[in-house]
Amino acid sequence: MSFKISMFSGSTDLDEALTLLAQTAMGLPRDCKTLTLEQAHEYYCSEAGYNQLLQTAKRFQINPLLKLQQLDRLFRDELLSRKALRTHAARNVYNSGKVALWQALWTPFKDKLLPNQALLQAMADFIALNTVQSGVNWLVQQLESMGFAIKHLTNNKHSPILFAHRAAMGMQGHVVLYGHYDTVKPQSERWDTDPLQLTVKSNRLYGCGIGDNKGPLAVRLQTIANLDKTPALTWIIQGEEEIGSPFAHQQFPSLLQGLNATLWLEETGYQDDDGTQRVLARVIGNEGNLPPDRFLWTLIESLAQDAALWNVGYRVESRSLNKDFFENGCPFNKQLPTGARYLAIGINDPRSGIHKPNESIPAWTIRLHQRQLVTVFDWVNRIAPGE
Amino acid sequence: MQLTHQQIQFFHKESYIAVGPLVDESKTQQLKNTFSQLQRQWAQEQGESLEDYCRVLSQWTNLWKQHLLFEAQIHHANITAIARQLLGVSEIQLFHDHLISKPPVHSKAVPWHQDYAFWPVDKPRALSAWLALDDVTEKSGCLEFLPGAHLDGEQAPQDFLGSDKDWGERQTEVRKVPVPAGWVIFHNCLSWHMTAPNQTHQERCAFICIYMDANCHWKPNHSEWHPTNDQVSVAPGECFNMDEFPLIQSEGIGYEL
Repeated sequence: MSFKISMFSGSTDLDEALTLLAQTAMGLPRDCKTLTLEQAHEYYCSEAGYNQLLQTAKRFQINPLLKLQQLDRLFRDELLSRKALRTHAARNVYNSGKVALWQALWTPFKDKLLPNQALLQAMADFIALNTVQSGVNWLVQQLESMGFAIKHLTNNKHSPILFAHRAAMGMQGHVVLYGHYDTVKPQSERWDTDPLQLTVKSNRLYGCGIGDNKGPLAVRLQTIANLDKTPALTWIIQGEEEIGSPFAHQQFPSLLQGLNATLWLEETGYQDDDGTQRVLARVIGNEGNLPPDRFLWTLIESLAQDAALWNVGYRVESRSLNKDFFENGCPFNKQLPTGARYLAIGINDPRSGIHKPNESIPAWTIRLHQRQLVTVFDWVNRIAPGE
Repeated sequence: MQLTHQQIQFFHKESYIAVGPLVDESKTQQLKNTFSQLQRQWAQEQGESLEDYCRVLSQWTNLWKQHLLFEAQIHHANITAIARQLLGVSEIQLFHDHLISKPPVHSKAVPWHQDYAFWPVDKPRALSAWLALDDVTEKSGCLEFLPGAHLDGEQAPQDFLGSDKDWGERQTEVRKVPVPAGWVIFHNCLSWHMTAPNQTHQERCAFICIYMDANCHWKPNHSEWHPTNDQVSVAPGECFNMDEFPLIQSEGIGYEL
C-alpha cells in the first residue's frame, strides 16, 4: 500500500499522478477524470501549461525541472511505447520510459502533494482496529508518545472519552481539538475493498472511518508529532458519536465550560467537488452563531493563502459542521462556550460517503491540511498574547 | 533430437541448460533481417524515425503472428522436441514468444526474478527456449542463473523497478551463461535469472519462446497484469484457446520458406 509506480505496462499510476499534478499546477477541477497520457502531454507541453508547472514548482520551492523540450521528448517516448503496445505488442521493456517520466515530472512533487509512508501506515493501523478497546489503546499510545497526559472518562455502560492535554511547547495560546474514534459498523459485502484495510486507488484512500473520523485523527496526530512547537493542546476524543453520543452529552457540559481556548477545532472539514475549500468559521454568541471576528478573519486569510498553493479557492460559511444524525446533535458544538472561536477544516470532500460503503477521502487534501494545522498554530501563537 | 539422460537431469537440478547450435547462422541472420524489416515497417506506421523507434522499444511479443518466418520458428522441430523432453509431456502449447533487443550502451540490468510469478497460468509447468540471435557474452548481458534455486518453489513476483534481491553467500554459486548465436538456453519457469546491462556497442537480440504443458489453464488472478490476457477467449480454469496460444505439432509443421 503506497503511491508507488508499478512495473506493469497496464497500470494507470503515471496517468493518475500526472492528473493530480495537473489539478494542482493548472487548476483542473479536482473531480475531473483521469487524464489520458495524450491529454497530459497537451497540458504539460503547451507553453501555458509548462509555465504553470514552473510557477507551481516555484511555489513549492522545487527546482530545477526539465526543460520543455526534454519533457516533450519523454512524453513522446512513452506515448510511442503505449501505442506500440496497442498496435503490435511492442513495449519499452520494464517501462523505463514510464519510469523516466515519473522521475522527471512526478517525483519532485510527490512528497509535496501526497502523504508520506509513515502517515499511510498510521492510517492503515488505525483503520484495521475494529474494537473500542483496540482503538482506545492505539490512540493512548500515540498521544502518550507525544507527551499528552490523558484522563479516561468512563463508566461501565459507555465507551471512554479521552481527555488529553499537552502544555504549550514554545508557543502561546491554547487549542481544543475534537474527534471520535468509533465508526459505523461496515457492511463488508457492500464494499468493493476490505473496509478494514486502507486501500489506495485513483488518488483516493478507502477504508472504514477514513473520513469519519479515524483519517482526520491520524493526520492530525502525525502532523503534531512532527512539530517542535505548538500551543497548549487539549484533545477531546469520544467513542460514541455514531450512536448519538450519550456519554458525551452527559460529560461535555462541565468538560467544555471549564476550558479557555484561543480556538476550537472541529473533527474535520470539507472541500467542494472542484476543490474549493469550505471553511466553517464562527464565534459562539449568547444567542447562536456570530460571524468570524476580525482575528478569525486574519486566520482565514492565511488559510486561503495555503489553499492557493494547491491552486484551490475557498469559501467561508458561518455555521457548524453538519452532523445532525441524531436528535440531540453534536455534543461538542452544543457545548461550545460563549465567545469560543470555532473552525472546521479538514480532509473530506462530497465523495467521502460518510457512513456508506466505500468511504474515502481524496489524497491531495492531506498535505494541505497538514500545512494549515501549522498555520493555525502560528496564528494562535500570534494572537493569544494580545487577548 | 533427443537429449541425454544427463542433460535432462542437469536441467532439472540446475533449472537451465544451454544446447547448441540448434539454429544455423543463415537462419539466425534471416530472423534478424526479418525483424529489422518489421522494425522499419512499424516505425513508419507509427510516424517515427527508425532511430527513435529503436531507442524507445526493446521487446516485441508474439512475432509468430507478424511473420511466417517467426511462426515457423516457434514450431522448430529440435527446439520443441527438447521442450517436450524437459517438460516430460507429449503436447505443448506456446504461451507466447518475444524478441528482446538489449540495446547497446544505455541498457539496464534486468534484476533477479522468476518468470512464472508474472504469468496468468495455473501451474509452473512451462519453460523458456531462449534463442541467441547474436553472440551473447558476459559483456553484452548474458543470462545468469542461481542453479537449484527453483527447487524452493514460487516466490512473490519481483519489482523490476525496485528489486533488491540479495543471494548473500549463495552469490558465489551464480552462473553466467554466454552462448554463441544459434544456441538455445532452456530454462524452467521457476528458475531465478537476471541479465546485466549490455556494455558493448552492438545490440544483443534473443528470440524467446515460452512453451507450456498443454494441460495448463488460464488463471488470470495468478498475476497482476499480463499482455496476453487480452488474447484469451476462454473462461478462467480452462485450457488456453489454441488460436492465440498455438498447439505445437510433434514433428514440426513443414513450413516452406
